Amino acid sequence: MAKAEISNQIRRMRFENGEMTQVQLADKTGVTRQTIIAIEAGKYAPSLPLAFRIAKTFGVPIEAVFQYEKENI
Amino acid sequence: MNKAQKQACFNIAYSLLGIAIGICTFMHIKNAGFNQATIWAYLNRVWLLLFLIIPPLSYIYLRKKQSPSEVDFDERDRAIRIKARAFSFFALWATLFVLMFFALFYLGEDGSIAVFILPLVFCGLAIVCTLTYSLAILYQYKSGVKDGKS
Repeated sequence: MAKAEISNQIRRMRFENGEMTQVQLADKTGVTRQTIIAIEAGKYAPSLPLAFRIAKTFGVPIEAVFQYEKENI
Repeated sequence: MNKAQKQACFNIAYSLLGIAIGICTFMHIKNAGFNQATIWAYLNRVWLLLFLIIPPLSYIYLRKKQSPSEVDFDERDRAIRIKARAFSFFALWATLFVLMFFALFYLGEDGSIAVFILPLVFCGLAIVCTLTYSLAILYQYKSGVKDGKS
């Protein structure tokens, strides 16, 4: 059975974009800070519109922020 | 803690207070005897606390935001609430089923049941639903992967 995982580079990109805080990113993408924390920690896989909004905030394509990993268990 | 978590904590505290008041009322009736006048006088004071003092305090507790532009809830909160509602719905039917099962043993001679049981059942169900919903919300915020819908 395959388990799908989505990893992300949000933390790194926040620091590369003027050390943006989680609150600032949350405000720009229209979600709560807890949601940003959950996404960064890999506890929540965002919806496609939210993933696009996050990528747009950093000015990069979505695949630069989120990576789809499939591992066999 | 975001607004949904704070609301859940508040609901749990409010429900537990409701249960405590129920137990106190029962003890009051047991000690003072079943006298309608004294029971209503006692409950009037309790209702003042439950409905006039605590809800305004909750407004102050819930209104504080981490950022002025912070949204009240987002897609993750919505997903969590939907699952919590499902848990609550399951708890409602499970509790109702158990209550009906036990009620079979307390039926009167002609299959009747005391009239004051029904409001008690409704109050109990409301408390069970609120507690399940709030606990499910808090549990989901703490653990597990929740996928957003595109």
